[in-house]
Amino acid sequence: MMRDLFFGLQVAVHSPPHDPWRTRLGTLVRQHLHDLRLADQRGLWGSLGNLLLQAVDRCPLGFWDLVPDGTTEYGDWVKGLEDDSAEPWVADPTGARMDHVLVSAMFLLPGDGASARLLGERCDLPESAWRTRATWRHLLATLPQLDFASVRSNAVYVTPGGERAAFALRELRGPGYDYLLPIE
Amino acid sequence: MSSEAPGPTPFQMQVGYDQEELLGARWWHEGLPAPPTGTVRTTQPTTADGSRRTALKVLVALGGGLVVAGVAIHQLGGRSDPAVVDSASRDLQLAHGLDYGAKGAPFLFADATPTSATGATLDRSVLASLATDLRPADPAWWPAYVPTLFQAFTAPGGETLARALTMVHSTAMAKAHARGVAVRELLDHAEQPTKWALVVDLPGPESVAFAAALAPTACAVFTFDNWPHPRGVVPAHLTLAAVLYHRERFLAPAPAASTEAPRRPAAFVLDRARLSAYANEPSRFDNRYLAKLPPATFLRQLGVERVLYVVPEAAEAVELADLNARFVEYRAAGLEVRMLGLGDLTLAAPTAADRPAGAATPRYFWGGSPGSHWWFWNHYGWPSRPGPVPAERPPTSAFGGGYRPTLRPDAAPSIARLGRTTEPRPGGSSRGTSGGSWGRSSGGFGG
Repeated sequence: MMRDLFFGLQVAVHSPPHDPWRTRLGTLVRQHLHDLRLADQRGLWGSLGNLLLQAVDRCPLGFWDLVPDGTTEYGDWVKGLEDDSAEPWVADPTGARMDHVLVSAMFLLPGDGASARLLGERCDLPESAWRTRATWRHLLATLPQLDFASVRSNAVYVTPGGERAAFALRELRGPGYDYLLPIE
Repeated sequence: MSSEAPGPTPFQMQVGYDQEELLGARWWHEGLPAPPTGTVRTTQPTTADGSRRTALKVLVALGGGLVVAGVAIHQLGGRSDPAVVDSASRDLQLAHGLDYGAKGAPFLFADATPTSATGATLDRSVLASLATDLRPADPAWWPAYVPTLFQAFTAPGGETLARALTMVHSTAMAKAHARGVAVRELLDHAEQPTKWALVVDLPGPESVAFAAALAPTACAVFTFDNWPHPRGVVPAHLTLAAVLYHRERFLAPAPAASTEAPRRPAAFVLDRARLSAYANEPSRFDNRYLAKLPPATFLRQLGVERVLYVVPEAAEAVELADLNARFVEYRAAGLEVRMLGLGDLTLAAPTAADRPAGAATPRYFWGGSPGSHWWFWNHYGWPSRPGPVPAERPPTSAFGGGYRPTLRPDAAPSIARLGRTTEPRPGGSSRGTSGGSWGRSSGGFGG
């Protein structure tokens, strides 16, 4: 049996507190904080994909990854993000304008399933294109196309969760977030 | 949410969060065949073992390969070709003409206007004396003045620039000027204005417009240290055109012509585009440069104790890289360096007390209202004379409230190579050695 494939993305969106876009994002996620049917999954990722596509021009930084044997990576990503929940939010102390939010999406998929094949095709991109905005549009447009019958596990996280909290872009460009790369 | 009829819910939510730190959930698909050996099914959130930054560093390790690859690619792209030599871009312009490598390419002027801020048409005869005319109105500041941009007409090809030059006045300039008026009003209420210096770091034309509004209260000290190029990374010709639009304002009578006259605070006028991103693009000429601000000892000698760093709306609350060491030096010398974001100056209708002339047109106020405008002094903790209306605390915190310059080790390397251009090393290339047109169509500019 093929190993599970991991696909994950994290993108920084310029969205100041009280931005209507962020309110829609928060509402969408909150509406799905329970067990989900396949149709609910389609609704969640369809709407989320559309929201992120609307915001892609306001995304300065991001990172995505596709790992064929990616069970460990999936565990690392969710652990890294879920650990955030246990520490009180501390705003950037420099006085920088805090107006960015991180949106993270993670999938663990059987390697021989339809969704894994789709992601394999959609992520088969030349390295020179990995960081381009066009590639991000391409990847975000893939989310609603997934066949959730062949998704083993998935997660979506918005950091910070409170609508009045946000990251300063300076912080996201600094230590601890070095993995986030400029979207060109 | 889907309105599909009730049915099985194969995706069990393993964990969900709706709190200040995190919003979201993780689901597990119960209906799928068992995963291969080794797949870990996490059922509970892991216990935090460190800070948010520490936790997310897990992702650093995952992304590290890509980052390293990027660095490697950059290093591979570094110049080691023995057939080329790089030179200061301005030296090449001096030797071969302002339009070095782009012979005949026109200067383009968006937002051109036939008349200046005072309604005058452009008199090109003033260009020859521009560098002298635009010296700071207060001679005390002359040592800090950088006249380079205004000397462009003396370079080969300068006459072409002089013929093409026009005045510009954009919407952004008008907005910057209106905000400058609001800051000048505040400056007029400073208890000890001579202890002030402003560093205006906006896009060139906007810096010019802002500084024009500060006159005559503050004395513009220009620091534009490059020459225009038709394909320049820095659109210096637009800054020059903006200076011409506001020229008369900078020529206002100077009360500091003698040593007895009270000194005026300096407004150092910088072009924020001087450090624009540039990636060795063949279609652009690298006319970037580093800002030159006077050392702390000079400011101290002139009685300066406070430096207000003015940045655009939505800028990050940190100084540009080439100012980092200088601002840290200022701070170490006891100069207080604070930041003003133009986003904190917003439009509102003036009160009756605040518009003695009766004008009710909305104008810019710090903090967004006539009352909060005068809270500016409380915010910065600097002494002032009373304003015309009682000061009120603004409803939102001001930009850069906690800003203090601190040394950034990454600042100097990020600006190590600016304003350089590659050209063939004499005798080192089969493509020819005469400068000026070598490789122009396919590249050759460096960055």
